[in-house]
Amino acid sequence: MTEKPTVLLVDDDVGFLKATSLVLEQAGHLVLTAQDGRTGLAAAREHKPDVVVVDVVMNRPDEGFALARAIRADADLARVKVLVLTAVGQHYQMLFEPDEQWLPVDKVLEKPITGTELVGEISSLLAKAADDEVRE
Amino acid sequence: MTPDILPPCQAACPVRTDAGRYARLIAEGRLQEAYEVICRTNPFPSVCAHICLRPCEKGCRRGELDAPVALRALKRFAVQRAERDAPRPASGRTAQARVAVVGAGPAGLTAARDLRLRGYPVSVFERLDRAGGMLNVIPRYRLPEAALASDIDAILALGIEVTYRCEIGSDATVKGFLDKGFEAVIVATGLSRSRGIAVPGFGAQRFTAAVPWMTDVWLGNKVDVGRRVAVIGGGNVAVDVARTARRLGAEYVAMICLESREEPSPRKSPWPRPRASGSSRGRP
Repeated sequence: MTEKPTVLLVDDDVGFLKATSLVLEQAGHLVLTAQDGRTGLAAAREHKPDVVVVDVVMNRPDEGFALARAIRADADLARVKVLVLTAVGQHYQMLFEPDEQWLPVDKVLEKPITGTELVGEISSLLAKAADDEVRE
Repeated sequence: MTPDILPPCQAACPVRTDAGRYARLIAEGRLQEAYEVICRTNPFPSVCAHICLRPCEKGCRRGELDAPVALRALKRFAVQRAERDAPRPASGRTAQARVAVVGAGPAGLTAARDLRLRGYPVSVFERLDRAGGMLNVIPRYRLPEAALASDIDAILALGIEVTYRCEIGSDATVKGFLDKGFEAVIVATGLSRSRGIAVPGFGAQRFTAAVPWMTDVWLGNKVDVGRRVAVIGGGNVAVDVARTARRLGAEYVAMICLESREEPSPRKSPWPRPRASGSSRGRP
């Protein structure tokens, strides 16, 4: 692991990636980006980030859900914390929560979210990851 | 009284309706008094007389002997025959503090009623153009419109003013209510979203959540069900959706759920009937 916590942002919205990267870099994170699920999974496998922030609707309407499941199914990425950040719940009028089988992630948050809130949520996940490591 | 010293039928009721008492009054032909006992703790007597899950009957001691007393049916009998004289606000102790209630669904109307009965001036603000909230999306064959309307009318007749088409966040804010002289604001906007399920294929064309779909049906918006419909889930809402889809012309409706037909949950009271509508349950 590098000294700076690494965050991988996977979102097809380039503006979101740019703005969020700036915020997270200012908060002391090393930021990687990907614009779809396939490259996101490849980047996760290559860099093993501490946290992956996943959008849902990209090329396919459930691409982020599939990516989250793929990350969780990869034993090499077991320590990676996954945060789903999406507006899909509002679009479909659904309320999503982590689910062991269908949405095995650490947190689900809804867009829009402020930079401060996102930094806070990522810090919480990093703290949880550190706790998990101590327990192991 | 705490639930452990109440009769089991009363303790099992979320609003602690004194079921034994109203059943006794009905047996004596005192229907108006029975109705008043029901209304004492329940703002929606007609609604519950149609669709409540009858926890009282599961707690009924008579059930240990042979079968529980049909309390919900008795309640409906009393509610339909009583003169429907609504409870009146407490006289002689009118409270001055004005209260704003956001949302005219069951929670908001209950809060408004309880406050009004204690003498508070109450104003309700509703996003849509009618009251009732999610009760409106329950299919009419389970909850007749007149039953819902009668309960709402009885509540509003207490002197509760409703402003329709007012959405908190866009048309009004909590601070705005306080600035306008309300001394308290109750936010009872409810949960108008379905539980999401991130299954593969989520978001496919014509994929929809139950609540907005049932809301469209209720509002009379155009709903295209197609020929074959799959409903994920086995609860009350899923059964409502399946039966409604059939009624709207779907030729085949499959329900995909964890429960088996042989092991229906006691909470899923509408389940035994849908086969008549042509739904099937299990793998499509």
